[in-house]
Amino acid sequence: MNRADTRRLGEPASLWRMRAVPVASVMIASALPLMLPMVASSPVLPPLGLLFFLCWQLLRIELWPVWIGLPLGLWDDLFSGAPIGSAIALWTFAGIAIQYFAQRIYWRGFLHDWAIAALLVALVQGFAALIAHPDAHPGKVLGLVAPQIVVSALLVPLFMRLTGMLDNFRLKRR
Amino acid sequence: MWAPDRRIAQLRKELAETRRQLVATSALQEENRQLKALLKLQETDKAAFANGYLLTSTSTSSKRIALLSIGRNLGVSAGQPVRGADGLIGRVLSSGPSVSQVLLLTDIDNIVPIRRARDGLPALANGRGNGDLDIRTLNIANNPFKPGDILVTSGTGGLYPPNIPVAIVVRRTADGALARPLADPAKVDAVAVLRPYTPDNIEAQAAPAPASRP
Repeated sequence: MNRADTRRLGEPASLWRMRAVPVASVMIASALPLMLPMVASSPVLPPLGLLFFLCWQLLRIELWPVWIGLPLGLWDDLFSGAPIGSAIALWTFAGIAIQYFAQRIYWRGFLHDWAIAALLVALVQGFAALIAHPDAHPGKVLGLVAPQIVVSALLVPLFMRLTGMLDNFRLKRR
Repeated sequence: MWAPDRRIAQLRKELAETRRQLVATSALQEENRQLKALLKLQETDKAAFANGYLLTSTSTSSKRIALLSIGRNLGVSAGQPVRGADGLIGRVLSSGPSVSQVLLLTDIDNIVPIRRARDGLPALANGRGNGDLDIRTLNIANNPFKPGDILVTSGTGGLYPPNIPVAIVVRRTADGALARPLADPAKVDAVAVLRPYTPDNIEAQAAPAPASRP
């Protein structure tokens, strides 16, 4: 008798998969931009890891503890080029902000989620740029990341969909 | 099928094939030009001691850091200038066993002492973070820049060797000029790592004396 026969129909997905898929998606999305063979002259790509991080928390608030911003932020810092610690702090604050919104707004709709994600992306990327360049003119630094913030805000629905697809895969029963 | 038709079909096929080869060759030609120029620099300019390729760069944050394909295995260490065939690329930020990080010229925090190639007017080049450079002259009184001015490193400060092409002025601004780097890191593959322009390195090189500066 082989192993497949011991599992029953309708059994929940393995605990390992349920926990690994969200973390792995954020980590891969954080590392992906540096894997592309491309030398960018401005911040051209949206922060993929941050978008997945926010979408997972908006979709499943109970998925992660609040400290998840520490390890995932550290991983993102290793690849983004920003000083180590900036994403650790900002992602943790973003997680706390989502927890706060979840307590305040009971029945969140799609537009609420979009607005929250866009606001948090703008704040995280803006503050990350200001932390990375403390001596530069703040207006210039914010003008540099403004196009990226706009693109990221417009991409939030797409990432919501991708997160939803990954969530379906994560919880798929036999 | 008639003989002329066959001939036409055959010629069409040859034409399409040749076009494909032409496209492939033009890319090779550009790479060849860069490598040859770098090789020629290697012969004339003894400051370069290692060559590598720019692999990738950060693209989601406001920092402009590229990865270079060589590291401590070839003697690369922090603070060494990096140049391409067309001009200055940046400087090494940190080096690992086999790759190193290069802070590009266009990063907001990268300031390069430069001078105008024509008359030696000293100035500072400061990255804008979006691929352009802010040029600020050291004397506040007037704004002497004109579009088309070529800017080269001045050697002041002891990091970048003098006379490396840096940028070309695109237009004047309120307090200086806006310039575009001559070496586009997105286009440049092969780069050379130079020795920092410090007194002991200058003596060791025994290179021809740098051009007289006014």
